[in-house]
Amino acid sequence: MKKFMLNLITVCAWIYQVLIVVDLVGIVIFGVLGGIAFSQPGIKKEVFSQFKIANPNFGLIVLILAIFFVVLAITQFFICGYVKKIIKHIKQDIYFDKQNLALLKKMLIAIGIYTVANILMFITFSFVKADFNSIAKVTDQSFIYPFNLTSGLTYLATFYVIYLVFKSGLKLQDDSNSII
Amino acid sequence: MIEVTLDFMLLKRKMSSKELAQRIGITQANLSILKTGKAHGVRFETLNKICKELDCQPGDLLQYKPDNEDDEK
Repeated sequence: MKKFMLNLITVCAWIYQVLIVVDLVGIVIFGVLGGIAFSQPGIKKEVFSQFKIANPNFGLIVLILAIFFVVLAITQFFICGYVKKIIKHIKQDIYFDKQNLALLKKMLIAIGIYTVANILMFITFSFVKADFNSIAKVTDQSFIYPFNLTSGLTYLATFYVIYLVFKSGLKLQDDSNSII
Repeated sequence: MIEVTLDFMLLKRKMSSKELAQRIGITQANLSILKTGKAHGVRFETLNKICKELDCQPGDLLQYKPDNEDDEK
């Protein structure tokens, strides 16, 4: 069961990392194209009028949101990488090792950055929420990105790995306690 | 198997387990684990302290006894 779970998490991590890379490439391409298009006053006015966007700084705020999105994606990419490395060590029965401790520290930093970026993104999004709702009504599209689902999966994988390490640690502690 | 004969030495030196535990800085529970042979091992540091307090040699505290299976062979 343990081997199956570890392999499953590794495969999911790989797939998620590939999707992140594809997303990032897409963001960069569309960001550049969008930026060029939006720099034309005629196009900007037309878009604002068509989608009934009230906030004149909409473009700038969307750019900031895109940057936060990139930060979130990059941190999740790294978290997946660290989880894969720890799983590789666990498969070799290496639990309490300096390398694992360093990887856990890096994961904590990445999760910290992710949390801060998430909060800032949420605050920034509140400035253009009405405009996004307006666009959604016109285009009949939803702008809800399933961040909670993907981040939930990331945390699940991360904590499962940490659980396995603690489980092994408990055995070591018991062994140590039985030596007087 | 290794048998711990700490009880015998404590009687010889007329010392209680509680007193010895306090002198060597371990809990009474841990000393009891050691006495009853449930410990998986003993640190040299602990052995050193016990020998110092009871004025004895490690051989006075630990004895090797063949397992039953070896006897049958």
